[in-house]
Amino acid sequence: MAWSNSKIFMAFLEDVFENTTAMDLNLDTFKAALYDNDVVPSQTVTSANTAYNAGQWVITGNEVSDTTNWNAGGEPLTSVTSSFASNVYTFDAANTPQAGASCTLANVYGCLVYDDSIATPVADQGVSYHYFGGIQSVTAGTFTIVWNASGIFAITA
Amino acid sequence: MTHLLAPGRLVCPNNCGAVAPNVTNVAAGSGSSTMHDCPTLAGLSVPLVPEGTRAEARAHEREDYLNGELVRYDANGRPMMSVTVERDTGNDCVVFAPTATAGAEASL
Repeated sequence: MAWSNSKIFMAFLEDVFENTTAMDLNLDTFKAALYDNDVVPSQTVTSANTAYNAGQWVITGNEVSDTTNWNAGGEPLTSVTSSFASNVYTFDAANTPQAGASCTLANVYGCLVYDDSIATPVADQGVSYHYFGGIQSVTAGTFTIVWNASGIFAITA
Repeated sequence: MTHLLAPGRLVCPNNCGAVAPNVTNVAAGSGSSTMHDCPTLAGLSVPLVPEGTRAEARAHEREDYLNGELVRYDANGRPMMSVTVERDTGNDCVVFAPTATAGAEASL
């Protein structure tokens, strides 16, 4: 089965809690890479298989990009926030548009959010993945990911 | 006297009345990443287009089961997936990404 939901990677949570990774959610650079429906996302894969260009998140055959304006590797998240209010922690960012004036993308079903700053022990380790709910495409136009008002991911304690 | 040309404007593709300055000089007929909450599409985020561009914005409901996803709803309570703007020279797409969530459930 291909895309069906949006999840936080369990390996990301464990690695942060155990200080296995030095990912810093309010300092590192995060990116959103786009994928087609050949991807079979799973939130319980190993750390290595959450990473960009590893496991299901490989470039060849799965990633969707535009050579000029939605680069392979994805576009950076901007105005990232990492905070909690009451019993809810939220990781959020501003809308994520294409890099240049326009792009052409086809067969987009979802995205991977990953840490582009981390190099070890797992480079480009994944944080979460998000299913857009159906097929998306754009021709010579703008493509923008509007993150939910509840954030990119949220943890309720 | 030298008259300065007024900067171009970005407007709603569905003519809701929303306007914004074209500060990035988006070419006529092209799309932009400047958004507004459009009343013609139940408050969804819709990209503006350069004034004079023939365009129409459409909203698209989620095409799959909600399955507990934390998604974007429009003002009518419908789960929305995206908004597209159709233009003569192409189209623009805004996708509403769900929030990935985690939280332990209390056991009785």
